[in-house]
Amino acid sequence: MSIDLKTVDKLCKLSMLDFEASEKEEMREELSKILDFVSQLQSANTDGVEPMSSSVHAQSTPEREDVITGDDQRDSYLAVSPKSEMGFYTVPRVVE
Amino acid sequence: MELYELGLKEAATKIKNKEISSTDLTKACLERMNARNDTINAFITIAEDQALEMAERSDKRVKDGNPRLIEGVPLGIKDLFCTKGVLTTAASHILDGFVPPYESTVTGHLWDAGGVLLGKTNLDEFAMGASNETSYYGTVKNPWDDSRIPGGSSGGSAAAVADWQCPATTGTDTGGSIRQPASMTGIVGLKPTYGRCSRWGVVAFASSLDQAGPMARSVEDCALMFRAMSGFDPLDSTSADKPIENYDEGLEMDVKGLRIGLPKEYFIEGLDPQVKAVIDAAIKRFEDAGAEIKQISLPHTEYAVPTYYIVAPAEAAANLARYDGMRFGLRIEGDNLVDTYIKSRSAGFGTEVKRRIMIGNYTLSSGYYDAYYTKAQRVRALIAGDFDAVFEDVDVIMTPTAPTPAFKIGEKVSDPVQMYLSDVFTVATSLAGLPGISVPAATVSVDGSDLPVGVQMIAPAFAEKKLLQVAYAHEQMTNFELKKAEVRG
Repeated sequence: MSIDLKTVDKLCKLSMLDFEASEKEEMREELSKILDFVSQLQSANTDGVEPMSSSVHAQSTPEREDVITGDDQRDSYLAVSPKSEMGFYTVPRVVE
Repeated sequence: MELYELGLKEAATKIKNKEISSTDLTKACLERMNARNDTINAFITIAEDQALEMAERSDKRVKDGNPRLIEGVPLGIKDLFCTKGVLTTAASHILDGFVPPYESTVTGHLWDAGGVLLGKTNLDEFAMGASNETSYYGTVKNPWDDSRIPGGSSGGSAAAVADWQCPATTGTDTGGSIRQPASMTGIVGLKPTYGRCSRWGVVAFASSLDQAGPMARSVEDCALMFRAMSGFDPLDSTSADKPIENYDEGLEMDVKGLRIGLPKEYFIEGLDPQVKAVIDAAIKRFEDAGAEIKQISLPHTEYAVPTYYIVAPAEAAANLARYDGMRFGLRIEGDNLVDTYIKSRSAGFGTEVKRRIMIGNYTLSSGYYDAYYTKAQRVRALIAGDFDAVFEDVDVIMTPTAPTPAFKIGEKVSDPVQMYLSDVFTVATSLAGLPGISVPAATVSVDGSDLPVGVQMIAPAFAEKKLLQVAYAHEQMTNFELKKAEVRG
């Protein structure tokens, strides 16, 4: 199963990634090979089989009280960001 | 015998008995690491200052008469676990300079048990790989032959233990990333039942599969490390609220009457004949000791790798959406917000990670979702069902861990599908969420190099104790010896 460059462009957009033209062609070839490989699943008979999204064996997902736990760690989290100012993350201007 | 050659349990006992100090042992390991890291590249970060500080605190606890389970023993931590105040990279450029403000639950357990952080071990970028060649920090070398890969993704953790740089390490296993490198470096690696070890603070790859586990040079050490790192965690919604056991105690068992299943789908063409001979010999030893060997079938095995390579990249694409250059790690300024996202991600991720994000977004995208992602989830249910059915008749399943011994650096790097097939015997267990262990069985000779081969054992969910007992019985019946590279020459 072969995908075209238009599909690669769409995937780049979805993935927020960009490639040089030569890399893009290489990516197209590799993705086609991988999709070829995984397409063998189509031959598996899954009639009446429910999808399995998790392998949790123990219990259903527990819930907890909706209360604040832990301390205010704003500054320690902001400290690891590439850019912050006055207690906020700083991003490029989004409003002209 | 050098201090750094001590195993986990032995070292902890000697420290508790005040025969040696944690500081002495930590210094010995640091010296070994520093001497070997240029060759093996097992560590991304050597946390010398933290290690010596933690060792000093450990020595104080011993002096005060309050020693803990693994008191004072220095450990390597896969660089996928967040460690407070210590650089955590996931072997990715995109996490440049990321020093977490919090500690993962698993590493927190280890420090609470008296462990000492030696350093952060190398891995495939975001744990995506089977050879450690996708690390931004360079390939790890196999201590048995440094022209070969150590396996992956926990290749640094495996190599550090196999090269006698530390007694035990943490790994993570999403499709085989603990077991396959354990096999290729001649050590023991346990992937616990999904939910046994908390995922809190472990950099996420594929959340429905990721599971942390121990790597060590003996089954007993692996069991002790597992005991120290596992347990329920309310911070992980998939954590198992089940009691843990004293896994390192009572490992002896009589294998007479033990029912061992051999799935015919794992003894296939493509399995290296030397590997097959090693596994056959291991099975024979159990048979001679009175175990009951049964031929079984896991009929959907052939679909395991393709299922994995839909499920894992889909989850990875979602998990890795958080790397946007805003909150942590690398940021490359662009013309606007979206351009900054794209530039940061394009510069920060390596090729294999990008490939998986792209595949994941393909299989999750409108029009393809049902044909790929939902289909894979249905086949995943069939694969899990195969195991449920056979565990009615057998106690454990025995298989090769990997289809080949360690291959050459560069050998499979240009063919992603060939690389993916390196996990052919480990992914099904991961998809089913079951515990699996790899234990060294023998060495084989390949192009003049002696290379280790591991046998994999698989048990029902939460039967880690049984699994460790069977692994221990195997170890007792096998005369595998891990020698230092210097001795092997």
